[in-house]
Amino acid sequence: MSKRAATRRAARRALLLDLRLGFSTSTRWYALTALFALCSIELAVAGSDFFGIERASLTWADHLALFVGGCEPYVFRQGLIFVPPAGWLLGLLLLAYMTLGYPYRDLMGFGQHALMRASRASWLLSKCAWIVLTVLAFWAIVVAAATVITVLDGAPFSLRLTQGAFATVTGLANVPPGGIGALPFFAGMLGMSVALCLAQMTLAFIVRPSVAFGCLAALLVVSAHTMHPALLGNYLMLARLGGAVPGGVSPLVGLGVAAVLALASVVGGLFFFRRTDLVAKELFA
Amino acid sequence: MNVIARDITKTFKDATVLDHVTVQIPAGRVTGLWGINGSGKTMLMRIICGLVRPTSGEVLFDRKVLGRDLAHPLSTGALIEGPALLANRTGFDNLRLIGMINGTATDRDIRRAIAQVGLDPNERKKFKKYSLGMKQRLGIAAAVFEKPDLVILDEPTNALDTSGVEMVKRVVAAERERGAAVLMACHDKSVLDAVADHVYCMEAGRVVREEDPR
Repeated sequence: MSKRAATRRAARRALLLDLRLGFSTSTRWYALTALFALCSIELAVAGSDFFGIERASLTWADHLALFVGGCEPYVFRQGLIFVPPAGWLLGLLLLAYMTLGYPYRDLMGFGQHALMRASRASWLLSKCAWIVLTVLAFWAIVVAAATVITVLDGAPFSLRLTQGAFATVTGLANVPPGGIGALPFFAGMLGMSVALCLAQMTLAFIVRPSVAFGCLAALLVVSAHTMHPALLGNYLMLARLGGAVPGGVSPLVGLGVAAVLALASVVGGLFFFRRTDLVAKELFA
Repeated sequence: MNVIARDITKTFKDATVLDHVTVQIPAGRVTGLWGINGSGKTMLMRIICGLVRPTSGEVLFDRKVLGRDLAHPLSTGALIEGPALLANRTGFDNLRLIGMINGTATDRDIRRAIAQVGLDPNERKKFKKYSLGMKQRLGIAAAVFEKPDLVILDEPTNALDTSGVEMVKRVVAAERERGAAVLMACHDKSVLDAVADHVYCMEAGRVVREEDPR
């Protein structure tokens, strides 16, 4: 086998090793995700009673979207302080945290064996693949939780978002009687969460993981505060969905922005990572 | 395989950690690095492993330049600053997972290497339960089990008792017999005098003296 072929094989094997190790260290986080998703969706659906919405009228898409229900943008009023939507924020921070630790821990530890046997680029791309798959697994668990609640409520398995779902998180929405298609919103949500997690990883390597996580958390809080297409957390919130909420963000634009952000994160990460020094527990660029 | 670290300089902001260091690591010989803490031994080893980029100079593996002709070092096993292994896996599992990448080492090779360093290949204890000495031994096994062409050992006798030190000498001699190029850093000169063919003495990031103890 030529050296080049051997290097490519080593890179493929390093990826498989990553997937195996990365997922085996995340099982408790997936369990926590399942528990959190069930509680979060159930609380949101139970809250719909307060708004006079029948549980059974909420669709499967409504249940899933309520995991990221969010809140209305903050409007200053005397005596009214801004409170970020806890369920929305905690759910997304859980995802951010799940994708934060493994790449950096691996870099400072076991991953150095891979770095001496395959290229830095293949190591980083392997981590990017792990992040994408982790995000997909996270949302798959949330989908499963939404499905369980839909079945238990006897609700319809529909991909339409109804006025009822929006009513539990915002008074601003105006949804036609037939509802609106959920796929663009879900696609934008998935794309944006992948992109933000990749950006977090890149920032973690450039600065440090705690700063990267802090930046992502800050972005989410500011996004909850203000509805604006440049504040990327808006694309992850049902209460800001364009087409239902006046002035809301377009999920297709969000998908485009996510694609650019993901590409920039990977390319920027490769550029930085190939040049940086891997000194014990710190990175010197 | 012959390895040369040629005219290596490494600076971090205002600090010069390595200053025009040249080290040759020929196949079938043991090359020693001796110096006190902070003399630059570990940094040089990290540069040879490709984990750190030199500010100037180059590392050549059989005349191929690391970072230009090679994306990563060729056929290298290393123990640098302690064994970087998985806490919740056994020793055997750790080596098996590392071996997955190249796919060249068999289970027999792994068992042989673990036994060679004085550990039990059937040990079911997880790595996090190992004593410091056991961890160090496993780290040495991880560096040699794939029979690499270049073996790098940074202070392999740390945390080892007298029998462990003798084990290190045996392993290093065996690697030399196998034809590997061995680079070993040690602050204990007597160990290097016993095993090394050539020793570079380092001080403040420079090679100040070379010796041939054998």
